[in-house]
Amino acid sequence: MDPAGLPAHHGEPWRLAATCGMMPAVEMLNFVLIFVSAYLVWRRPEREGLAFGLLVTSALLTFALFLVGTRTSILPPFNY
Amino acid sequence: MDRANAPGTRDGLSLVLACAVLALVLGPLATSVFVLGFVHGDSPCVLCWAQRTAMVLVALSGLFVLRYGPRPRYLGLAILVAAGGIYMGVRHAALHLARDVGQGFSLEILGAHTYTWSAFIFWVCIVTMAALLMTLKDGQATRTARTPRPIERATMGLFLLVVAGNIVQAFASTGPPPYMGQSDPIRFSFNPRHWAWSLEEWSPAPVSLRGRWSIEKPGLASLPADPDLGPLGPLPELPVKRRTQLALPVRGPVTDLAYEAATDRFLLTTDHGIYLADGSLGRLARHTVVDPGFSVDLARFGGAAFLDAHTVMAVSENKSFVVLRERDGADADANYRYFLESRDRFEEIARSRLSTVRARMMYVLSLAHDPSSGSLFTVSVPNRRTKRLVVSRFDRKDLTLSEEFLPALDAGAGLALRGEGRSLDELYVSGAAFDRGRLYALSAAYGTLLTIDPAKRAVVAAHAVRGLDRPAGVAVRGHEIYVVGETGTLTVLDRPAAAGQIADPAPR
Repeated sequence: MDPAGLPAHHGEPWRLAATCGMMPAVEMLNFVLIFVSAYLVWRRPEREGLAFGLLVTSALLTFALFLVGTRTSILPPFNY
Repeated sequence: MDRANAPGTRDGLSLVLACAVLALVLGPLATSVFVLGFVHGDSPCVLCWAQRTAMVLVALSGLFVLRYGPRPRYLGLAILVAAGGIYMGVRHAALHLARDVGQGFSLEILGAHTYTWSAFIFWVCIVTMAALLMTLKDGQATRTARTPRPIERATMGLFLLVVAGNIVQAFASTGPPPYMGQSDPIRFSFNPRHWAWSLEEWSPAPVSLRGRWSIEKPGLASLPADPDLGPLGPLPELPVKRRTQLALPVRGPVTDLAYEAATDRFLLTTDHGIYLADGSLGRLARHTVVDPGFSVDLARFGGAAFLDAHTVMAVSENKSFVVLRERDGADADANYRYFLESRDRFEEIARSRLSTVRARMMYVLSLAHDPSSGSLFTVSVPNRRTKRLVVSRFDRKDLTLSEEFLPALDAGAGLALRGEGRSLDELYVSGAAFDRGRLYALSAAYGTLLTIDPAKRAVVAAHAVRGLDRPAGVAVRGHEIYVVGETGTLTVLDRPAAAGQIADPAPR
């Protein structure tokens, strides 16, 4: 932990345990959602509603993450 | 059984779709994670992750169709995600498209960087989906779930393998939640000691539609006029010799002033008006109003200069320009496309744009011409995002940038900034003129007249000018400097002497 109370920027072994309990979000979680959705489609086809719900959630999360990364210029940064 | 759901039709379409999904999974998706990521150490940035995820979602939508049939909501979502993917690809590639040849971010594939391929792949996805949709028969979209065939099971298994690979890579390079992808990722490694997780993308930042290209238009209305508050220390004052109001029939605010000695005439500009007046500024010789639209966008004129005795150039605040030559009896019909008024008094020689590097994100309100070196000068005005005083010099022959510099204070000029944090970048040059080796740049902010030596790239003198009302243009006529305000106020000053300046020509 740095003096400001934030986790160190570069990875230290202790940091894995310190952060794994945080609320979920972001890329890794997104792929987990996709994995579960595809698994349901293949092995539990009767759970189509849940699988599709995960697909929609993942799509929304993907675009939300992209907008977080580009929020200072939502349009391509060209001369309009 | 109806014809639409006949096994032959259905299986054929499913086979094509399974092959398409397989191509997407084994092509860009598997390559990106296993080859580029695990073998070459490529880590996606935060935007690459979103593009890759969207590509995975398009493939997943294909699995839904294989399993449950081509239901409208699967197809609709797939098209939505692919369309969003095209936007993401263009938005991401736009960060680098204007850079010099070969420059980019991260790895190249067949000469194009990875993010550039993204938009193309999404486009191919949409084209493929459209082609498959056209082959659907009526009623086929309602088919119920069925047991996947071997190729479909293989597609699903490979898909899960690729997603599992992405989970591993995402964990290593972006971390568990709430960490997320980085703008500048580092080389991928399986060694936890090399992992760098970041929260940088969560940091507060303004939300904007056009980002750094959203720049306010220049204006003189709200600038501080008091020289005593300017960035330069106590300055010698240029006394006002006389101040009058122009009586010329000029329509609209004046935007610049220039002088031509051989014919003893002044050039004034308005938003898009060009006016030639006699040396007393009491009578108009000719004028025209340039049609600013339908071709190169001529924004409001900000600067003007004589290129020779009968050729004038006006540059817009966006650095677009027009070059006109006087011509009595010009073909008014042929000039309909160029002028809104007085179409028979000028001919248009050129209309194009000046391009800069350091002043690219700033507007200009000035233009000066040095006939001896064949150079044209513009000086940038600061805006909320970029505050720099940039002098740009263009070659008269091809109107292309020759050099740019940020003028410093000449060591022998006895000039000093008022304190820490003050800078010449605070000045707002709204008029410029060239005379005997010196560039005179008048700042509407803080009423300051700079004398710049382009050879030294330095300010060799500066003077305070009090009582100016929104000064829009400056011209040198003999030993006098003429300053015109937007409202037509004319202020005449003595031209300051600067050390090392070329001597005045001998009187004729």
